[in-house]
Amino acid sequence: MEKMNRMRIPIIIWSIISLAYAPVMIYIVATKLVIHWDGSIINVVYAIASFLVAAFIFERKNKAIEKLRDEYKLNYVAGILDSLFPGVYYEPDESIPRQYLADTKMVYLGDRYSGEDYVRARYKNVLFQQSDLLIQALNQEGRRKYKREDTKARGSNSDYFVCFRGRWMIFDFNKNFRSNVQIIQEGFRVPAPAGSRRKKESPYDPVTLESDKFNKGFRVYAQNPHDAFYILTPSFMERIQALTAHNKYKMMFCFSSNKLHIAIHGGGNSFEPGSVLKRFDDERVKEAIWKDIGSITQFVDELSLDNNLFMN
Amino acid sequence: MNPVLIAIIAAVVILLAYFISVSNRLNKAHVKIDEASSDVDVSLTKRYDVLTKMIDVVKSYAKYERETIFETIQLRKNMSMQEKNEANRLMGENLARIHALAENYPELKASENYNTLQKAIADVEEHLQASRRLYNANVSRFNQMLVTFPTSIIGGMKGMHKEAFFSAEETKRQDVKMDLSL
Repeated sequence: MEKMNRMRIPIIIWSIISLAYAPVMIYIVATKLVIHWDGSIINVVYAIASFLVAAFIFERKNKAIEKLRDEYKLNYVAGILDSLFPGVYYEPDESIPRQYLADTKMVYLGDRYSGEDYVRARYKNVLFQQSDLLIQALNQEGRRKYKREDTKARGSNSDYFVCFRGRWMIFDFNKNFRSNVQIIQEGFRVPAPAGSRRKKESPYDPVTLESDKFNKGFRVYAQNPHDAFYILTPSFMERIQALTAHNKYKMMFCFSSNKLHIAIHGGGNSFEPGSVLKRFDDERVKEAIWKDIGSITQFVDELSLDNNLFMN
Repeated sequence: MNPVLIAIIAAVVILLAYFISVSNRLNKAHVKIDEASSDVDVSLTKRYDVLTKMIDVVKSYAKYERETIFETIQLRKNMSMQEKNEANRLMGENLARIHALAENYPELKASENYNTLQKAIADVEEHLQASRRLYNANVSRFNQMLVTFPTSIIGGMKGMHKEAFFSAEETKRQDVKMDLSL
């Protein structure tokens, strides 16, 4: 923990320097390029130099933050995950592979796909995977500038539209079924840019269940309504309602290929060290990591995914 | 053209369009019931198949049970909902007899075949419940359309009547008696 606390110091120093330098830079740019602009090259040089200094300060601060984050994730997060989930695979810079999401048709997969904090492990013998994801698509401005196949990572963020930002989890489900079923919590919006191929919220047919309360809180879509009723038993519906009532972020569930996908839009950035303004101590760090882990295990516990009564 | 005549023609056209629209909705709702009924048939057949396998396993252990202790169940095409309810009830009774018999044969209870079939029966019953709920949801929607005005008039003109629900097994509706004596 001492190492992390030592690593806080350069971040704090560079933050103070950036705060102090910001008005200086504004002053230089305002005076040299606006107020006292006389067309001379020296004013331009001053302005460029001030931007370069700002970029240098920004780069140093980011580097210090990255070092702290790596230390936190590789030494603390990995250690706690390893103690809880034997044989866990944790990679801070990886994400759930894009092709795993393609079959679910839950969200528009857009043009840019990135993520971090990929975890794959077993809890109560239920295999799960999770990662933070950021899925973006070219907006109308971006599509005017770039052809889709050219973009890769090109363009600035203003050319893109966020389709999904949050946590994505995949669990083995304890029933066999043949077609996809989607459950969208009221308030969970599945954005897609205007003019995209995705026009409706879901490509599947809407299903109305017997519970009015459930129908008010969730929209259900299924390729085959039988599978919707098979998966969404009255007790399972109650568990979903209880689970979502405890969470501040809206969720979308999808049952596909015998797996349960859960997308938590805006569901925070998992396994981050938190504020550097406070000293790190064992209790605070463990509590933060446990909270992130708890938000994974709660799905197994509250949905009873470890009940394999129906699986051979 | 006489405005009164135009108004009458317009009214007739609107009524006709309304009639066609409601008629189509009723027809679609009825088709959904037929689809759900087929789904029930599939689930009943699966339950029957697993039950037959369980009976075979039990008979191989219960060698001294010479007489047919299980009621014969007939599954046919185009059974009415009442017949399906009856077949389902009989299957439930046979299953209860199997469980009761298994209590007397510990080696049966411990056998891998029996345990595999127990899981299969549990899954098949879940599917049957899903089929029942889907069927009943479609029937409920259709029946509600038939009893509400003015759809009820159009439904009556087409000779449509309320459909029967697929009921839960009688045994499951009774209170479970728990015997905790040793």
